[in-house]
Amino acid sequence: MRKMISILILASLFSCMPEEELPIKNMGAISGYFIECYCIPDKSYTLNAAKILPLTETIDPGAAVDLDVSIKADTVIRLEPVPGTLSFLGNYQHMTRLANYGIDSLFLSILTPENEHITAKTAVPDAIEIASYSVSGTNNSATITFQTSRNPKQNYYIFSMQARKSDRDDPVLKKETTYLDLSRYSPGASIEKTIRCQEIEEADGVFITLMRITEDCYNYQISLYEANSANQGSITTPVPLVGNIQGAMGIFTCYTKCNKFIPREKFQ
Amino acid sequence: MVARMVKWFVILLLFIPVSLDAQTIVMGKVIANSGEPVSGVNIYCMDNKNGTTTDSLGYFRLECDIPCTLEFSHINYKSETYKLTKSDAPFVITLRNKHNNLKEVVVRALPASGRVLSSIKNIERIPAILGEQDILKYLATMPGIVTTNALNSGIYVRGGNSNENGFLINNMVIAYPDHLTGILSTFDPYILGNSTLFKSGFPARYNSFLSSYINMRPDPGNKNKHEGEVTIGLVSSALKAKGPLLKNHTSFAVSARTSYLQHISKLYNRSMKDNRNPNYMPEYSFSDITASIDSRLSDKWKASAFGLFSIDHMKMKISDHIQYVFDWHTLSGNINASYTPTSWEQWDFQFGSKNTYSEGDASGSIPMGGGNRHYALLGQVSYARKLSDNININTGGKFEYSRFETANKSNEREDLLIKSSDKDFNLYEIYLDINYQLNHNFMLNVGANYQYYRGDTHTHTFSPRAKISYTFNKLTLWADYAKTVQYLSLYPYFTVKTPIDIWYPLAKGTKPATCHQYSIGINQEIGQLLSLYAGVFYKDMRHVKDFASDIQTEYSALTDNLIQGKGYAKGMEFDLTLNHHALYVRANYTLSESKRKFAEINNGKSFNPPYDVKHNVVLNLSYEISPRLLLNTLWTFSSGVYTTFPKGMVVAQNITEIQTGENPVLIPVYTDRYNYKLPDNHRLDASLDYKFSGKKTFYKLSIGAYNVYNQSNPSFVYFQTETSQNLTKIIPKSKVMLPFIPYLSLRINW
Repeated sequence: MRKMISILILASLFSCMPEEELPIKNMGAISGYFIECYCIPDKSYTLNAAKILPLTETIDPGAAVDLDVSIKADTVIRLEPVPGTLSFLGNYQHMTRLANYGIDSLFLSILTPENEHITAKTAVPDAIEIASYSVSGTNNSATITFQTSRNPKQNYYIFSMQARKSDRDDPVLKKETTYLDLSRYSPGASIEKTIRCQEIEEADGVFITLMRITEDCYNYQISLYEANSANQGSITTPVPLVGNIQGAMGIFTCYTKCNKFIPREKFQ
Repeated sequence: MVARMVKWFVILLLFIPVSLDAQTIVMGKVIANSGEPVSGVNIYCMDNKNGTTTDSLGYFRLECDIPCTLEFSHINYKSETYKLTKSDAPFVITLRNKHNNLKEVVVRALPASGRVLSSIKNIERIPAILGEQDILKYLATMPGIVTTNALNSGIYVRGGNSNENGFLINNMVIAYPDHLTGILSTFDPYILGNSTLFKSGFPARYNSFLSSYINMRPDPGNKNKHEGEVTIGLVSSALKAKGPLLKNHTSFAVSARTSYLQHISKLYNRSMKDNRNPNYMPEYSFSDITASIDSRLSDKWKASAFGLFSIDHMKMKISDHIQYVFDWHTLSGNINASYTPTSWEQWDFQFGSKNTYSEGDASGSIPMGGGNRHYALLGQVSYARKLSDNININTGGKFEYSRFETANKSNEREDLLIKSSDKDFNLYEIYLDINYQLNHNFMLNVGANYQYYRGDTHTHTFSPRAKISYTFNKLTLWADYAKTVQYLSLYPYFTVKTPIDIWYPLAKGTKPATCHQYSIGINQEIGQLLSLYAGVFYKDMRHVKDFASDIQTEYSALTDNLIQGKGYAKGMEFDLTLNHHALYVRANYTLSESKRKFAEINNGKSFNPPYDVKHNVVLNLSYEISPRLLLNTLWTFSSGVYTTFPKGMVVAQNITEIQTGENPVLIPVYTDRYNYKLPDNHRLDASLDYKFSGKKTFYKLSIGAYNVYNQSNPSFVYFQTETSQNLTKIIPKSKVMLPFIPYLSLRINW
């Protein structure tokens, strides 16, 4: 009963926080392109391209953009628009796979219908390996160990885990992601990282992913996160997207990835 | 449940005793015609033969039956008597110099000359917000002072930023006003009810903040008898006491407040556990303890001490994945000794310290965590002397050592904080104020403040002050100029001010921010009934600090983003106060404009900062329906402030998903800052106070409502997407944190 009263009081005080629609005013002109290209060794080249739309316009993910896109690896690969796509994501592709050895840099070149030249360059990080991993059912945590790269410019990582339960409509119970800047660690250092997650106790499996990313990608991912937080409420300070593309907004980068799945039977 | 409460309330009204004790605590301040406080004035209540003396700041507190006749006497001033018919304290008594021919004692409710006096009596004439009386909320109803947001704990004075206000206890900058949210400040009016806010014409002893100085004087307690108070409110409850430690010699005042909303929030949040789209309540708790001791050591020596401890904790679960936890602790205090060898001179010796600690922990996609600590030691000596009938001086010196440490969470052990920045500075200061009574009408104040700052950079500053005032009968005109400097900038965690923001001292190669303020004003009093005030100000600000927009990671250095710019603020203020028997009406209007300009923001174009409130109107009506019933209403209107809106939106890929390409995210594209003006704010607050008494206890039951007509004043903006037939539209929305909220609170005194 006391709980009910408390809930009623609070419900009347706070949870009924009303919301109002605000008029969209003309915020000024905005133009240009938004490009995202994540190259992954042994995967085909895929690029997302869209026009940056003013806030006042409706976003049509199927809207075509007419760009001349090429990536220079050991050869120049020309990415083609994917017809009939319903999303910006992956609307330029080429079936050639990025060789998983021997290339340390990639170059992006885009020519727009306005005859503007968009360029970018990225390093290709070393392959990443999870040296050891474990999931503790008692501490509800997932732990991995891995080694830092010999190249200090490649010591940026994204460590993610998903606690999953397959008999649910949405099998993802909880997802946790950690962005790691290990650039100040010595090359070849052994790193141990743990993510604690209460939902592991009800999960029937845990998916672990470790990605080695570039410094540009790290900064971009942080800016994406912070811009998205500002989107949720103006209480968070807005930040501009921090990309590495000349002549457009976005990111051209490369990452390596290692996945592990640990079923409940192997929890410690 | 509601019916039972109403029934209980009616029964309470029917059966409470009707007798009221008319003995009242009278508070006031005695000043000379120059406006300077007069210490050592003997105040004697001729009716009940009770007496007291004013302290070093001219304040007094006396218990007497109203109506009563008070006699004021001092060796250098003509003795005056004043018949007090009501207790609208604090009133200000202006004593005539023995060689001065002013016609009468001037009694006024509010002093002129760019100063705002507040007292617990003033504070009780506005509806308490959510049942909580607060000094800062009261000050924000004064002309030239605004607040911008229900979540914001800051006040903005004459177009200045909220981090440009200095909060002082007994003239020493040791106080931190902020609890973690803007609901109420750490200043409990039970002990810190008497304050003076300086908007312009600052005395030379005040420097290091650009906009304003709020000096609070702790209640010395009661040297004769013990008294206590319990308050039970919607947000918090408190236990307070005053009394003698040594009768007629040493007294104390102490107050302890604590909140209990967090317990209700926890229950509410637990009920959300299985909800797929939960709307979690912040689990917020605060407590504070304020204490003061006052001792009359001898006829010449007085000592006092003050301490304030506050502790806040907030857990904000935004979603199942993201959670913020904030802790905020403060501990500050000072000890003061006053030596009055003769009636025309006084020495004050003070030592103080302040210490704050905050820790933030964000779990989720970016597990940012860190802590900030700021501690300072301060010492000051001041000397006031009357050189002649026309001239008196105030002079002194100060020393401050401040240290600012920031730390980040360790990569190796998440509960370990590694120090990432350690800055400190020493500040040496001397000042001199000369008050010269030119003739019967004109008064001239000139002063200067010199500071030497030694931190990452060394700098000397000289800040002159000047003020001339003309008084004729009850008309006062004045003009003043003051230069102020500020060495600290505040890195904001959020777009609204919170105490966990990081104070940052001058970086190498930067100059202190300076403000030159020019102000004129006029005050006309009509009898004891009506007071009219109008003022105009202009502020020219140089080297003001801000931070460029950039991503923040654990290795981000604030110095990389610290930028310097300039700005101005200008405006005019009007205030009308009517105080006639049971009716008290105050109406004021402020028109102002504030601009800032930084090469790194908005391509160097000047912009309106988010605290620029063009029009601000306050209407306060308080009516004593009967000796037991007091109705308070407060209507406020303020122009909408500027916030940052994205110019565009893009759809980005979320590479952290296990299956790449899942869940694309809509990302706003921000270019300019403060490019969207929010709708205007207005609301009405009302409360009804009912006083009654028992044999030895006095009760005040307050029933009221915040935002009576439920105006949707935006607290923050967010963006919602609407998708239909694969087309996505962005809808900007504002959330209203404080809609219509009724409240009930009870205060018991004994």
